[in-house]
Amino acid sequence: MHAPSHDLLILAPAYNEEASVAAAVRAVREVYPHTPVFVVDDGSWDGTANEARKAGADVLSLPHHLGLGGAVQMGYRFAFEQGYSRVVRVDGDGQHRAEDIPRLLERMDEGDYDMVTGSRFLEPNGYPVEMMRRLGGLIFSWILRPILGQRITDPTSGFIAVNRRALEVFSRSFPLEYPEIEALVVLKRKALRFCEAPVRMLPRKAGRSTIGSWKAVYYMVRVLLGVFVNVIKFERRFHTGSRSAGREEQ
Amino acid sequence: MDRIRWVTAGLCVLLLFQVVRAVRREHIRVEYSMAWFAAASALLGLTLWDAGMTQLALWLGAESSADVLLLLAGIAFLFTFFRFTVEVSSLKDHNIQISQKVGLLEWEIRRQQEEIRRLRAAGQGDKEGDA
Repeated sequence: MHAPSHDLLILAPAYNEEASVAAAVRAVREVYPHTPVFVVDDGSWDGTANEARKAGADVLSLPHHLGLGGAVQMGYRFAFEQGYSRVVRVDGDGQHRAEDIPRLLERMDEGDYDMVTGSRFLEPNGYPVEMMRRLGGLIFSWILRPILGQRITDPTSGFIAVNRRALEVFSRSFPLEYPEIEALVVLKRKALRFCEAPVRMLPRKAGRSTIGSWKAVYYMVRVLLGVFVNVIKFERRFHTGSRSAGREEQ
Repeated sequence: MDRIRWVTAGLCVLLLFQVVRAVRREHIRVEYSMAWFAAASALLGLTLWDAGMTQLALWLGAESSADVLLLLAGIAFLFTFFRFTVEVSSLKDHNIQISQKVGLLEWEIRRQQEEIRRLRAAGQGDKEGDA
């Protein structure tokens, strides 16, 4: 159990997660009882908002479905405007273990990182991953390596901790669809620092993943195009170079 | 004039008629009807301008003026389609911003209402305590 925190917000975007959102909120509140859990209900038509409220979360309901990126950006924007210094994003489907949140935050503090992503693949943890998903992750890792200048083992992970610098960037500009991979390129473009921390993930408690097999091809093309667009926006990358210069650019 | 050009001219007139009807019924805003009016009128003009089309076909190396007409119709469609893609993208950005703003305002109203309820309950408790 952790001490009361006023600088940390746990963000959980949720869309039609009535069956699992309460358990996800309670799991976080067991580890962080004094930290606000903020659920962004992305225009759900089921009882997601009510279930999250009953479990003790603060809920912001969007008037209609914006997609994952729009919901996450809403949370980041809220956190930035409310003055939070750190946000940990967990999924509303209960896949992310609250016990791993300290790992992300410790890693962030150790290296003064602006964003830390929880990776399923840094350490073997027995998490069952579909072969296609694993293959997609490997392809993205391979493509992203020269762009990001570092190896990212789990680029599609949504278990993410960000600090205020990253919050500022994301509250203004955040990819709408399948945002995790593009978000890495956005941070690189802004000369912010990021890394991964090993985490364990659980199978979904209910519902289905937003990326079905029929969407996989669209997902690959869409993300690659998004990465490409962000790469060609590296306008002053070679002139600024240093981190401080990158921040001035913002 | 060959048959394809009659058909094209007929389609252009039909398109113009349809756009006018849509604007009159407010299904299309006037500013967005401009691109369709311009494209349909230009195509209609070219279809009826026999000598000009023949010259254009010669200049482009096309076998017939019908090919040129098809090419121009395709170009007009692509330009119009592109323009509306830009418009839709811009509207989507605005929509997201407005939705997020509405979400934030609703959250703020709910917070204020809860605060008022809490203060009222506290005031009620004080009164009962005094009594």
